[in-house]
Amino acid sequence: MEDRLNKALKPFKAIKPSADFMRYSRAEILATKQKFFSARRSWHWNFWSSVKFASSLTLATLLVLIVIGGLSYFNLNLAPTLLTELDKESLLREANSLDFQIHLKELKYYDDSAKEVAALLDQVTENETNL
Amino acid sequence: MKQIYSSKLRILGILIIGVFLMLPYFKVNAQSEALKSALKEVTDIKDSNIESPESRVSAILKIIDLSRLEVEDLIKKLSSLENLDKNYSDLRDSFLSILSDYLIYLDNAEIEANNPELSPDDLKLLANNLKQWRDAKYNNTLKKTVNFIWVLREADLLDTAHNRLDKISTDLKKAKNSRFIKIADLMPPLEKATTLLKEAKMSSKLAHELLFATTTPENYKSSTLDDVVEETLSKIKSAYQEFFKMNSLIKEMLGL
Repeated sequence: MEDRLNKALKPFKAIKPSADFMRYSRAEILATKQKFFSARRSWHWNFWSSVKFASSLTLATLLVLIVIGGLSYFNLNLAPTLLTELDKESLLREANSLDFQIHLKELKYYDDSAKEVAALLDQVTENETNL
Repeated sequence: MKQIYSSKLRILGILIIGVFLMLPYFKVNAQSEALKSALKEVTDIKDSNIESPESRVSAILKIIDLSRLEVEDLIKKLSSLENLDKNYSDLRDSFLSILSDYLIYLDNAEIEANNPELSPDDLKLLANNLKQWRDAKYNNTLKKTVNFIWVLREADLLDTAHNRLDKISTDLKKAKNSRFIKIADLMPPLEKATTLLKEAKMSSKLAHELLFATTTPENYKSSTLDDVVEETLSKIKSAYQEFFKMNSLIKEMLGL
């Protein structure tokens, strides 16, 4: 089987491309822009790739820190909002509405009223006596 | 039987008048401007010359006007007390009945003072009667009425203060994990406020007992009740001072 295959393929060994085809192909290949790496350009490319990679890594780390720090910040600032019942303004409003001095003021008023009226009535009766 | 019926009708009538005259009393206010103005008129007359008969009659009428305003003011305040238990509403009705009698007394005194045929001796007698009535009954009853109103009002004040204390305690529990709020530093004023309100509750209870120490409002010692009412209010006020102290401590902790 193998011998038969070799025997069939042997004539194809002699096949070669034509001179025109060879000239055309060569011209096409030579006309194509060549990409080549010089030793200096390779160094630049590696450097900036490293910088980009490092920057990305740093930025990602910073973002993670900011998120963690932000949560702590909320914890710090959330505490006062949790303590709304100790808010000074609301305490003042409530204490003022209760007005603890009113009782004393009322009792003082009636004491003053009693004294003033008694003094005036004394004057009225004294003046009558003096007539 | 007839007397009981007419007395109840009178009280009902006074309540209706009181409610009709009453403005909404969401808090017990200090004396109204009309009352202060009437007292000022009495003071002004006292400081002026009242030698003529007309000025003396005018002085007595000013005193009657002031007294009437004082009584009506207390009737309004008593009428504004709502949802009272039977004991308290009976005592309130008792005060209302006495105050209504005072209005009748004042009306009669006014009629007498306005009598054109009033002699100097009659005028002197009227002034003396008015003075004795005020010294013996009127002044004391008015103070007792004020204290009665305040004993009932204190219950509302205590409820408000206790609600505030409970909410503060709940807030402190929520903030216990905060790194910047040192809950341990806030505990002493909180405990002090709690103690003060407990003491206020005890003195308020004593005030309620003193209200019913006798069967009629004429007999209990108003000076003792004055002190107990004032003590309760003072303790509630001190509790609020502790709340303000806690507010200051928190501001220091947060650097505000």
